[in-house]
Amino acid sequence: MRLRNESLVPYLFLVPAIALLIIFNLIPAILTLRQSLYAESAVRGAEQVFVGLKNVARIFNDPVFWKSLQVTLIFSLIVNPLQTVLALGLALVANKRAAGIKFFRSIYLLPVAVSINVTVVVWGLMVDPNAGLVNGILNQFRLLEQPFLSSPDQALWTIIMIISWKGVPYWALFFLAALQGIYMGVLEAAIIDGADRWQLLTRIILPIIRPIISSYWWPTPLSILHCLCPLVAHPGRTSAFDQCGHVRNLPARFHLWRPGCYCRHAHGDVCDCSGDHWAAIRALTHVRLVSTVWRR
Amino acid sequence: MSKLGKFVANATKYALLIFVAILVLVPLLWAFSASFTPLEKTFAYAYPFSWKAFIPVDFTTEAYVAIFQRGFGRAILNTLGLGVATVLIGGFICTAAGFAFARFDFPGKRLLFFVVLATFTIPADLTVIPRYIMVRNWGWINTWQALLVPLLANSLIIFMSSQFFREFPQEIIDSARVDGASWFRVYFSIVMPISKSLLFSLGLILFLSQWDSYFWPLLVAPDPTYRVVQLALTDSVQEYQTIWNQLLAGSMLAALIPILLLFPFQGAFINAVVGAVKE
Repeated sequence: MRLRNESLVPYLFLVPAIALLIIFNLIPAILTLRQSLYAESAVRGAEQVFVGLKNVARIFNDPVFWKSLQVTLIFSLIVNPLQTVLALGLALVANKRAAGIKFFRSIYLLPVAVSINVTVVVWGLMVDPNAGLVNGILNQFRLLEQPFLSSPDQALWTIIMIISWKGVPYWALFFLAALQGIYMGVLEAAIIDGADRWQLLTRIILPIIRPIISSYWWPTPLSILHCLCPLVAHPGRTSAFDQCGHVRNLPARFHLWRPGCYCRHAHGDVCDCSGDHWAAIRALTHVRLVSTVWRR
Repeated sequence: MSKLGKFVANATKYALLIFVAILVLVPLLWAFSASFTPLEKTFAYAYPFSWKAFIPVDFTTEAYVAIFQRGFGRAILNTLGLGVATVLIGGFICTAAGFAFARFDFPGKRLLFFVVLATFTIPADLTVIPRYIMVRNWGWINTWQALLVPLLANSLIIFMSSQFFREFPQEIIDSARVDGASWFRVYFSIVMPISKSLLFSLGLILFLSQWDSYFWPLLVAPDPTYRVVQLALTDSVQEYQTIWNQLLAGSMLAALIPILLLFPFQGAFINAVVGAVKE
């Protein structure tokens, strides 16, 4: 196929992907924001009434919304640094030179391939307060058994732990890739010059992988929030999360997908929660994205 | 370093390697073992804890037999088919877009790239309700295209492949162009074959996006004909009881297939990520 007009070529390469992104992602996002200005949901086919920012005002007056926003922020502030540090640690361990290191590396990367549904199913059973393996082990070593998801104080931490089991290896994969890109000679030269381990880490390794930390740090909260939904959407787990009302201590996303959220509020509210949530996250990612775009 | 010092250093290193491996493996080993255990003993060795939690001493395949009788095999085939289609079609259109961003200068490039980055930041669950309404209005409920088409364009894949193609040697493209090859020929017969490692790993990400999807299939394809793996898992969660060993058996099968795909391509995957993170 010969093209008469060369300048059309890049657009032909782009059209299918960009068209699909606009149809299935961009337009629905705009519709969500529009929907948040209306009282009734299009899902029920009822007549739509424009109410402007009334929905926003209503959720701003809802203490549950503020509580969940607060928890979401705390959650992101904990999970992000925690997973970054642990992932770096895991990547450094997986990058060691040892016999059978490829075998160990394969094991460490296993959770990357395990879906979040499966992670939640298996870990949900593991941390069951009465029959779970984790309490079984704690009991065996004469340690105090923990309530985990059934306690308002521990639910959030337990979820952070479960998500990190999958999240840390995922980010470690990116760090490991960067570490493997470091020329070994650089490290050896530094050791000959008398650098200790701490200096190797802070003066050579960290500066080299810093671009990755900064490129992936902001998308991280997004990916974490993405993987929260199945925790609640999964029928097996919904009841556990709803016990004793400690759902109030869970991030905003949990409220979005809780069936109760749909029942308690009109559908317009749900769109609204997500609209606001999106605005907050976008504000955070905006700086990072703009700088990425301008650098090109 | 003294001999003893070296031994201690080595022992610490392996202790660390093994400790981390245990942290990763414990849930999978227990789930694997429990999936081969009769229902009434699913938790028998977890609490109170014994080593039998990791070895199926009361070995039975009843859970696996039961889920396959309920159509888990069909769900695996469905999802594999969808996954392969997503990898082939989605992989092609996403890498083509990445190639255009990396190799051409054209009016509107910045704006279009911003569309890609913006869709990357918009969480899928925020847009799911309007997307569902749209797909329903097209009459796509309970069709294969409803499961396939919305997952084809993946902004992460476009982004990663454009980073990769940026590093692609210009001379190869130039010489092919001089010889009179069209851009599409350059892309198909030269760029694609050389970028195998990238394609494997991007394919894996695309495959997982389809293999792991749960909420979207639940909305658009409730009919059992179109059942996918993650949904089939929840068949073991019934109104009055959950059949734990079947749930775990399904989970193990759902985990096994991506793991089998990840292992051979692990090296390729890391290479592609190295290419993508170099800025």
